[in-house]
Amino acid sequence: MGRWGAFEQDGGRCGNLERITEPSLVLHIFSFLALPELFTLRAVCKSWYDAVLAPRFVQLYKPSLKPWAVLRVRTDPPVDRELRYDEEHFDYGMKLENHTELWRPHLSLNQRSRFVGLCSSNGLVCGMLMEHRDSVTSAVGNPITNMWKALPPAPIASPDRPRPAYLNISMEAEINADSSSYQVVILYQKYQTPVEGPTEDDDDDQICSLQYESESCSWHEGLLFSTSNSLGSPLRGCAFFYTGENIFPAYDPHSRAWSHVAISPPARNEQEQEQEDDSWANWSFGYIGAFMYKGKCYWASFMFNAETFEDIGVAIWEMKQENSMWVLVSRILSTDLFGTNCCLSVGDKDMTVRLVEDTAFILVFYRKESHGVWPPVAYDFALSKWYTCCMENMENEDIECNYVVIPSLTAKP
Amino acid sequence: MVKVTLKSAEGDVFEVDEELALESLMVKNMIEDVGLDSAISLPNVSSTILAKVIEYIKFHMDAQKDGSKKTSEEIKAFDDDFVNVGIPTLFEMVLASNYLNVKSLLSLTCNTVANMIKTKPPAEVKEMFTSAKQAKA
Repeated sequence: MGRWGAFEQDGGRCGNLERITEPSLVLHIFSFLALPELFTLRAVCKSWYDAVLAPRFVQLYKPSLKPWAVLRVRTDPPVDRELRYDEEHFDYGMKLENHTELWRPHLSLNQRSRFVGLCSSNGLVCGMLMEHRDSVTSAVGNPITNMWKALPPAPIASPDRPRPAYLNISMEAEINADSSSYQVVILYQKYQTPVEGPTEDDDDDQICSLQYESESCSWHEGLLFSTSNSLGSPLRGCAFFYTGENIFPAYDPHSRAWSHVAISPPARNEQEQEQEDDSWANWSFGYIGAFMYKGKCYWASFMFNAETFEDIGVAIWEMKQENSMWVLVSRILSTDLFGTNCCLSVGDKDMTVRLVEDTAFILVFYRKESHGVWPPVAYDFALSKWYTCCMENMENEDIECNYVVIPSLTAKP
Repeated sequence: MVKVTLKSAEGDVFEVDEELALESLMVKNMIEDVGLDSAISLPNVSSTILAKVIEYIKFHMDAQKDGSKKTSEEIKAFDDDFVNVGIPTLFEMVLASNYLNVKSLLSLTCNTVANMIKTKPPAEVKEMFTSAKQAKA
């Protein structure tokens, strides 16, 4: 009979050792492994490959996986300090744990390209580079499964080329079990070629929309924004554009329609002023970004001392529909986030806000010439709590920005 | 102390304390359904493996008892030694702990398998699983 007797007796029907590869056991074994290991093991056989990508596995895996992942953008040192994200070479998607290079677009020699930005939705990430003067390279990918797809070039004509400061990319992905579809939206201001001497201001520059549909694999030009062809508040859509004016336009890729709201500096009422403690005295605000959460519009702002320009902290405001006023939801001092030893900086910084489930992540990156990066700062709406996302190697000077995405095993570019 | 009789695939009989037998959720359900009068038949578990499972449960029950002098290092050493077996035996233990529904043993054995496969290239992992299947023939 021997040790295999049990299985032979059973006619190999249910005691068969092949059962070790049955999904529930494989998934149990997989649950002890980290994602990078799993993605190597997918190669073992088709059933394992399927198991790793199975929705059931995703469900099983989720509890031990952090609900978000951090991508770090790493760039080579800038050559030209005038440009915002200037570099000659670019790679993004440094996964925090193993620093795998995820996507590096092919760059021809002698051609300089600029990192324009990243956006993400439902596990997909869209990265954009500007090559030379007039061509835009972009790709959509899933940093977890490391699948990437290059998008066709966006039809942005040379004279209209988006300037880095005024270009915004956003995307909205809908991930179903079988298929996923997504839209990438580029909002930019048309560069008006000066005809009669230098223009006095940029107010006349039009805000344009360009939309990529994954189903048709093509770009479509959308409407130009103007207050007359857009709805007033409430804001809707995924793409927000802010150029420093009082108007805050938003673009909805589904209806291809604009909406807008006026931004007024949040007023401090007398009661608040009395309660104001010293650390919050004399604040001024900087715009970070707007986002929608549960049908309401929020706005994240950066607070700094109006006299010294040092950081004070960050705040989240809610748009009240009734009177179109911004009301403070929550704010926190930088020292509470980063400890008393945090360096209060006067340097220029770029900030973005991303909503991942119930948490708004505020990501900051300084211009290269100033110091380092903040770790992502997060505000959890469900718990009404602020926290910082601890990360190692914050000193690494190569890191240009941190970027929070929802990890997804199923999203396909 | 109430005793429970467990019958392995080969028909060997193991008499164990009820308290110990209840650690297996599958046996626990069986006892609830059919009572303690007759032996509980476990056609999917060989005598060798059943003896090992009983050894494992017994050690951990003793270690959890008040007055147990076992340190966590000793428990760890026992676990490490317990799963330090050939791949076919390890796989059998995964299957048995899954079938008998002994959560802690399932975690221990699955974790061991996971540690074994994570450092190996896919080809070796495949080999490991294929040879385990062939060993049966």
